[in-house]
Amino acid sequence: MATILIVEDEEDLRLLLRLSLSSEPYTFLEAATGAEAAALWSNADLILLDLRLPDIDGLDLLRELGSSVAPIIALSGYSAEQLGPEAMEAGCVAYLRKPFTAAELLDTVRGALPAAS
Amino acid sequence: MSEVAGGTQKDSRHDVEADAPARLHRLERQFAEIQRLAHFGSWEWDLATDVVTWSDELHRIFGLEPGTLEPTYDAVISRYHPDDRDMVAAAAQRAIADRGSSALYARLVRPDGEVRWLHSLGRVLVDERGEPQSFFGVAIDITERRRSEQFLREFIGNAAHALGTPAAVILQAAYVLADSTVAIADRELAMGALTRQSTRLHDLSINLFDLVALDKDAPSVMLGLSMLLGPVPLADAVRKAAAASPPADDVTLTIDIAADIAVLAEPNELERVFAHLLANAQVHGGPNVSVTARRMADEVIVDVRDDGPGVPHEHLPDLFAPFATRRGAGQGSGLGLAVVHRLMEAFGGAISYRGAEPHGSQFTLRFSAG
Repeated sequence: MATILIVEDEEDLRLLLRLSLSSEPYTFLEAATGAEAAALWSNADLILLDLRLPDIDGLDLLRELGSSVAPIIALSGYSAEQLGPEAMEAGCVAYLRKPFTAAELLDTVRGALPAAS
Repeated sequence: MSEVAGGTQKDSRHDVEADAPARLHRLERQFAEIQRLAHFGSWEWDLATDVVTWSDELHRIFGLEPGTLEPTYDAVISRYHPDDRDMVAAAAQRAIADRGSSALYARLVRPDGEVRWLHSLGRVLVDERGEPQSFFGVAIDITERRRSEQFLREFIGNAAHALGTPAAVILQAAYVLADSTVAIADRELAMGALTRQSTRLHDLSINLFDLVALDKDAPSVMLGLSMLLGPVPLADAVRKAAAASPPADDVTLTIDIAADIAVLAEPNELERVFAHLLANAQVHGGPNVSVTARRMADEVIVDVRDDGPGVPHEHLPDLFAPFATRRGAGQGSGLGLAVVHRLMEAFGGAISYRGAEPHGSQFTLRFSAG
């Protein structure tokens, strides 16, 4: 059973992300800020990372904490053309522009999770 | 008689000639005063002698005592921001080469280091052979205009972000609701998120509207907002505001207001003042929130206090400005205190803030007694 860390400052959005993935038996960790994310960073099998956080830019956080601990999916209100390349360069495995359907999220998460999980 | 008449004629012609310097002097003074009133300066560069003349107001715009500018082209250029000097020089050269005109926006640097924005319009005067004789024009200090344009741009950007955030969550909720693979119970949770975010969006739009409608520099008549002020029982308004959004379990609210205290206000808007302040105290302050009031001469002074961490020092200068503080998620729009400030002005009152001792926040409101 995979553990997913959701790094997103909007509480309702964290809820909706969990609900979108509710058909799978994932466990969730949640962080509303970069500081909270830092404490949980290495405990997850996959990280959903909002690129706009109240205390730090999501990509800066990623560069600080490293992208090797778990696959990271970037979430952003900006188009993939605007921020996608930078996110991939920083080590994200996928980029989702908000809003996205539950099916899109689920497919991306399934595709990104290591097969063993 | 004819001699007298002739003499009179001659005298009046003489008067006109004798008055010419005086008239010129008067016109010059008028022109200087007009420049001072309208905050624009004028300049002339005599191309034959390379002497530059500046009006008194242009000196002032550049932060100089009138008459102290070294009257050369190079001295003038050196007064501009280093990054703008080439552009200013190129515009002048082009205007002279074309025997035409120039229009530019450039930054100047005052002797004390202050940078200001100038809109400068110039024209080349030619002699009868068509050769450039002088380059002259006017310059207007547009720093304040640029500041307000900048403020407006930032305001619109902040408003777009503030509206966009709940809108994005609403869309995300709609996608979850539309997904038949999501369990009914989970879809009810999504419905809750949708309702909360719709409410947030709605509140935000009302606050944005109020902020514009209550702007004392922009008459609200066109927006149809009129506020009828009258005596309003204070304790009622505070209690209603508290009842509309009850404090969280870990917050204790104390209201200590004598029943006979009334203030000059509009009842619904007064309630909104306290709704914003109580919400603010709960989110940023707590756990003990109190509202107390006392009468002082013709005024009523109301203190809204909490014993939370208080407003961080760096936020104090802009505390009542819209979107001044970046808040955590879902903690209001960033407009509450700005709206309260505008409402208090509309009541003819005022609001101020100071840190409470030993810690916490204290907002003090002054009303006219009703």
